[in-house]
Amino acid sequence: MRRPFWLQVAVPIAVMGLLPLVFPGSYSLTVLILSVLHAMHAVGLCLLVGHAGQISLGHGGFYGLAAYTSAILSVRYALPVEVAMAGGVGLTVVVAALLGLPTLRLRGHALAMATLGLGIILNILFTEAVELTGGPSGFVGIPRLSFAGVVVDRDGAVYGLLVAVLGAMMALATNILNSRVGRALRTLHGSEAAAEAMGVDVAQAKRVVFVLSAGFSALAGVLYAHYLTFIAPSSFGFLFSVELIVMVVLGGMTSIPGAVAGAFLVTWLPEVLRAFENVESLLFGIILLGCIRFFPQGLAGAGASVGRWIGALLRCPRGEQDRG
Amino acid sequence: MAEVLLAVRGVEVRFGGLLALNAVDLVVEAGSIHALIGPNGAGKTTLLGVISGAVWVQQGQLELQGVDITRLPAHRRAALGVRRTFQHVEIVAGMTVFDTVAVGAHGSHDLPLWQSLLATPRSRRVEEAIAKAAAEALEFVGLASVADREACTLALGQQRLVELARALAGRPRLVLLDEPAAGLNMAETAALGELILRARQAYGLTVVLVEHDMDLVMEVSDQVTVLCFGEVIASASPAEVQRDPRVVAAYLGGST
Repeated sequence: MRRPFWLQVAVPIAVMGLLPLVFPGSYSLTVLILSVLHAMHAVGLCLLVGHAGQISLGHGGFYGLAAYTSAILSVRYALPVEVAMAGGVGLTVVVAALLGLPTLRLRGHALAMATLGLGIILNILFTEAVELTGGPSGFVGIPRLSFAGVVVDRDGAVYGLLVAVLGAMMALATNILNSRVGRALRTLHGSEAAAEAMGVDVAQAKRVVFVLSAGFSALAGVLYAHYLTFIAPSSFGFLFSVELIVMVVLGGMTSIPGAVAGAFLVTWLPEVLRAFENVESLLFGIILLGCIRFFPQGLAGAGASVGRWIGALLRCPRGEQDRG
Repeated sequence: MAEVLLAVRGVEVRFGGLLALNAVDLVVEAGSIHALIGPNGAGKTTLLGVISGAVWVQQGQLELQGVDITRLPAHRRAALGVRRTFQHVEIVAGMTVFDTVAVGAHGSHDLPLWQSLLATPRSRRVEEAIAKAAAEALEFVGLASVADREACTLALGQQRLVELARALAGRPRLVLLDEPAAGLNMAETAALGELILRARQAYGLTVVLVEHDMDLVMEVSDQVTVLCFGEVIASASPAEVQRDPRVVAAYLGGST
């Protein structure tokens, strides 16, 4: 089943481009920026969790590792922002590769356990290595995003940049899913025996997609650090890792645009529900349950149903004319 | 004597305390259809797993066209042209028939990931070659019309054909069929026998066939090896095996 590029990448990017016009104001823009950052994780995790069936509970940790590395390199070592960001992503990818090397030879939930542990260890590091990270109160004074001396400080420009990066990630992910690698991932998810008998190096395929998704999260992390100029350990905890999985599940597991929509929903909802104060979390939970109950195929499934419904509505009159 | 494609020598497999295969030898000639028969628990599927690389041997050696493959993992053997089907069909829910079959061609191409990631011209050529091989295999087994259906929604007989097509899509040298006729009715089994013979012709295959259906075994195979409690008790032509008193006692006795 080939995934058409326009539907998978072009339309979602166009919609995201229009969102600041629909929801004007600086507060909305801040939430949109966070949504796009979260969507970057969701795209990678859609490949890892949705397609390859490997659960990671440590991507929040990768997010933080990249963010802190870039912050430390740019502030403590006074490296240019671009170099610091490359360092943050590079270190995170290396850590993910080292973790994946032994873990992904194993079957079952080995990766979930290992990433859970790594996530917790990293979070302790962010909190306790006070001299390096600023400890629980956070790391302040991170320089703003800049490329070749041009500082990207307007939120609108940041949003545009992030949407472009997300678009590139979605394009890469769509390429993967349309290729033999995508088929290999889905096969090894359902049957490792069948996958390896057909020539898929199962451990290698899992490792590659794990490192790729960690790379996406790391890129989100460095962009986050230099956009907000302030980071704290609480943003990169275990709960955030779980929230990332929720985004993918809500999106429909296997759909890239679905995962992005899931990220937007999970980021927006708490902001909207804030008005309800005491019952905020309760409503959040009820809405999530409702989504799973009524759209078991996730937002992507719901979107496809709506698409079919509109298609049927458009076709129907014509069909009657033919008969008449 | 024809060229030997696969030689299994002195293979021993233990699962804990159980000796599943004991000093098993098997010589499969290129272009032949070689049946493995024997009572339940004789080690037939284990031996198939040993050949495909799913089961590691404690002792013994495997050679594919003179190359030692004993220590090669399954995916490397697939790259050398070995494919298999499964006794309990291993078809992944949510994948179309076409995608399921296309996976069979995975091991026939060696392409670095970044090529697929960037959808480079070379990766597109590989995808086209895979699509072509999958379409041909589907056409060959007669499932071209259901290519876009979800594979796991097909009837069992058709799922077995999907598995056969998946194996063929890799244009293999050696195909291992694990009870392809299990659960099929007589008409389907007869058609399958014909299909296996045609596949050998069209794809230049060598086949190792594990099967309980004696009519099918006698119809298609050139050589039959009989396993009993993890040991080879006979290896000869179908007609000779049918007359072998030990084989009749161990396996055929009840049914003929």
